[in-house]
Amino acid sequence: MKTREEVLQDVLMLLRKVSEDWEYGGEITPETKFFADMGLASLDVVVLGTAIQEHYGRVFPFMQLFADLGERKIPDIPVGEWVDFIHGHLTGASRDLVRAAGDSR
Amino acid sequence: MSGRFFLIGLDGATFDVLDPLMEQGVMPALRSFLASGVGANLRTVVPALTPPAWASLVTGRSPGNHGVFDFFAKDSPESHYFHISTAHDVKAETLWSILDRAGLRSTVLNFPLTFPAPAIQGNVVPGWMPWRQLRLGCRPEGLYDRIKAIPDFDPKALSLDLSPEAKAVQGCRPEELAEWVGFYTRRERHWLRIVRMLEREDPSSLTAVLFDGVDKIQHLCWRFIDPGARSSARPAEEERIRELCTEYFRELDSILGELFRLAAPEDTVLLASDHGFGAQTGTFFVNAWLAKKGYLAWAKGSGPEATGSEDLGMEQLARHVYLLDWSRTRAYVPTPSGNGLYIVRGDGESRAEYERFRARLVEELSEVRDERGRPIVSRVRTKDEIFPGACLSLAPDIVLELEDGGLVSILDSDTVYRTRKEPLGAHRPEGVFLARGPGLRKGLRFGEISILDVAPTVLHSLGVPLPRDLEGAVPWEAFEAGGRSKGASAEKARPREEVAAGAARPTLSKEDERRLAAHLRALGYIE
Repeated sequence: MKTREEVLQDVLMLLRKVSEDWEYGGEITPETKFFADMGLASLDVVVLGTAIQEHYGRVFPFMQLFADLGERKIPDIPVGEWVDFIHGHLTGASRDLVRAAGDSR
Repeated sequence: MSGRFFLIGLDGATFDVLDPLMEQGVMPALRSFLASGVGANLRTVVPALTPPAWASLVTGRSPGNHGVFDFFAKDSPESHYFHISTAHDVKAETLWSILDRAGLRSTVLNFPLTFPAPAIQGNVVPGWMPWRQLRLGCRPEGLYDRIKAIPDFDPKALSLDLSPEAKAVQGCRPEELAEWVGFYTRRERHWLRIVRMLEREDPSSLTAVLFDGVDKIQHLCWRFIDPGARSSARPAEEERIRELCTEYFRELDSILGELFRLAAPEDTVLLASDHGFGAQTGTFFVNAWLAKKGYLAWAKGSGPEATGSEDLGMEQLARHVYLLDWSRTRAYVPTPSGNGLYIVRGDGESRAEYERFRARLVEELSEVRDERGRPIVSRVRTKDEIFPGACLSLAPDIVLELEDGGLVSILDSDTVYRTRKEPLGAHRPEGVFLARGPGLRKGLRFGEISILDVAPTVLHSLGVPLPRDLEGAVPWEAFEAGGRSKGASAEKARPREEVAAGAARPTLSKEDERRLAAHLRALGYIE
């Protein structure tokens, strides 16, 4: 079973790998936001989600995470939240995590 | 290596355009190719759309069996929600997978539905990728860096951007057209450079490359390309755009010529398109029609209004999820890209009740007329008629074919049909098939074959046994007498569950669906 730290490292490795190609100069941390900081478009995030599914060999219902975005004042996703979501699904605690993320706003 | 195969995709190519260009000397390489090979119309699948058609071409299976019906795929048979189609949605075995099992390598460039890239021997650069993620799409590891090292390579030239895609089917300002033509000319050159590099360093038994500029330019510039189409543009401007389009085809011919020269005499080269082209002259507001008939209800009383006759609602994709009052909606069309109508099954509704309602819709849709009494819909077909197969449950309940071959609008409108100010290019069922190589006849132009026949042709030419579940056949009329001897023996059909292996999608609960609506809103698909 992957730990949260291992999932974080997997995600950071993926993002650092592709971010070189769009010349994103900033450091990518759990606080870095997909849209505001990295300048991604919605299609980019869809493709990243597909790549993560491919990496772990399973489908993640990313819509559960993204669903909350439309209800936020700032519709964005920090990397750390994405990691929590993936890790939550790998360990079976995903729904609680999504609810907790929504409650904390 | 001998007897290789080059499969060149020309998205949307039609002999209605190519024949005059060959006659005028704009496409001498293609003309010479046809003179030394065979040509025929290539009838595509229903619906005549890029994703299901290319999926059929590369699998030899119909949409009911490969499961691709639109650019967007239903999450589950019961769900109202759709995701962008990916390789996981193709539930039939592709040519490159069959070749891989036979121990042969493939180079696959710019084909839709190839992300995530298949784990095959060879090289894959998927189509429909945003440029920032292109590295993720390329297989094997290291391929993207090799491509990036090509002089003057620009990943943006290969990328998918949803905004211009919307313009292709809705139209754009004349001053933008020149930019478009230039973009696609550069794009095709980029793909050629990648082919050249891979041919030099890493040749495969199958090299498959798709050029998609033909489709985009014909969508936007049909009125300039088709001599029969009218244009309100000023003559000088019209002439300039026509010249640009001609220049695109001249450049494409030059690229094709280079590809033809890469093939050795023992190699086979096949050009195919996923559908043909013609003019779309009007717009059918199908959801507005459904609302007028009482089959669809907007949550707020009315839906987003079309801004004009060109507005299909590409910017409103997936908004149906919350725009509709689901308690009072019996049927809806979710995307303006597939002409697929879905029926909402009521709780406890029997199969007989469903079929009665569907039959009523088919009858009423067949009778829709424009303001001058002319029919709008040429053919209405149920999924049982056109999509029999393992993926039937994910298919739209009804598929519309419009009189002008165009796409429907999903927007609300005070009138169900509007004539377009300018005709736009729209798909037609007849694409192109051209082939040259060992065993193929020379200078033969014959009638028509099916898009499902392409995969068997590729496999036969490479001497690979044909899986028994292929729905097409080798078009023997294209081959010299004795052409049957090379291969084409049938192998044992693979169990369906084996070829349909794809990541299972979770079934969505009502709560999940509500969340997905918000997700789509957040992603910018909906407001």
